[in-house]
Amino acid sequence: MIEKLHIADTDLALYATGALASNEMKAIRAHLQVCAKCTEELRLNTLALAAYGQTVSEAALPEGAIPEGAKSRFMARVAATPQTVVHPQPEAAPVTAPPAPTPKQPLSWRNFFGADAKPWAGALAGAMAVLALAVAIDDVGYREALLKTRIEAKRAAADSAQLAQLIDLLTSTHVQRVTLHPAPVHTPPPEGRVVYEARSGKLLLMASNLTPLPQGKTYELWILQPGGKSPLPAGIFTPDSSGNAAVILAQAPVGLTVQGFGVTVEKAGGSATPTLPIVLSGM
Amino acid sequence: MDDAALLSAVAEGSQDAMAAVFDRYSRIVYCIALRVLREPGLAEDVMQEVLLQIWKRPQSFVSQRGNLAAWLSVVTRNRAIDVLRKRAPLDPLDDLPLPDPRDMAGYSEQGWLMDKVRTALEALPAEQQAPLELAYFQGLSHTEIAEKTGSPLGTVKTRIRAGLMTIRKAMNA
Repeated sequence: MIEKLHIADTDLALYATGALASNEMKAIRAHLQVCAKCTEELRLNTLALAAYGQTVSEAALPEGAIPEGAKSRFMARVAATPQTVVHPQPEAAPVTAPPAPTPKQPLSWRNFFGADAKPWAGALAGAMAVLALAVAIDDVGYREALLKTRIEAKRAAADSAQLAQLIDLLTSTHVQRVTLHPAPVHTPPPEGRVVYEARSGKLLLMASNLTPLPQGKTYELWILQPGGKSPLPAGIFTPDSSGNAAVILAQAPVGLTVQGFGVTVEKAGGSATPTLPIVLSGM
Repeated sequence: MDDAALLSAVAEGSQDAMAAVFDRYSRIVYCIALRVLREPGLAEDVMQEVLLQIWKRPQSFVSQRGNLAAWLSVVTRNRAIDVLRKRAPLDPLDDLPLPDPRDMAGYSEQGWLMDKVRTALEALPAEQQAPLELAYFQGLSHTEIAEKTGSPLGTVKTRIRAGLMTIRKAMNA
């Protein structure tokens, strides 16, 4: 099964210390989004490192070594710094919630595989791992892991035409892979990735750290065209309560020359033209 | 007052509670920052930046963050390494998951645990201590550690992993 493929313990240890190369860090970060086992292993490593840092650091510093006046300086900053008031947000609908009936409707996982999607849940999680790895990985070792994962994914879903299509898309040499970055700075910053195959019009979007939206609002993905042409709406989507979204747009426009992608906040049901500001964009 | 109650008071705007957080955790934060940066002024800057995040967004910690001491250790070390290497912060301060959400008490009240870790570290072979220290306190990559120590890359990896496992084992003993 795909879920059995995990990050090596040594790499997780180095990830916790930040001692890996940036491409390796990205690949592991992507895997952690879909793997509870590796996330737990990382948590234990991080906890051990925290204990290590405290123990070694305190041993090297004598009692009372904090600079004189540090507390009064800190409290002065506290007095001058307003606290951020967090208002309760309405619970966002999960990705698997039935989407609103609009043109270019993104497919949820349940819709994509039919009403009884439970048997596919495991294979689907694996397929998402494949997608995450495919987007982020740039390392020969992980390419081998990706190949192994793809083979296992095909075996697990041999009678699923839809899943086979998904894997074909992920492994196609004709797809565009675009990393989306936040236009303004948010805390935490939202992030998204799009995989689009112009030949078939298949499009996948994965996003994280999106701010929950109030009722009556939705996120909408836009296809940015070269030559100053108007952006084309590609579909609306709603992140889950953690701000994550993973949607397949099976009927995105076909044969387009794409300059990039953007995400905006629109009224429920989507808009014909994007409304500023742009939440995510990538060329 | 335990950490959870203290943070609830901070969330209600109590500067006295924030002062208590400072008293409880400033030493841990400052020690780690100073160990990385070796310059008291920079270490105090990092300490203030990290602790001020608790004042700015206390709600984030009250319901979700768990072990405050561990979170502060992780964030402080990462920020200090950022300063050391003069790079932009890699992650927003309030976007880091707490290592141990099961315990709000904090390590400052668990001296016995630190004693066990300290004992384990004293017994740690020097060849395992060196790469762990270079990675944690100097923010070196495994490649840089291999170059600096003259050890093969794979050896560096396994020694860091072995050092971490020794600490984990000591914490669970």
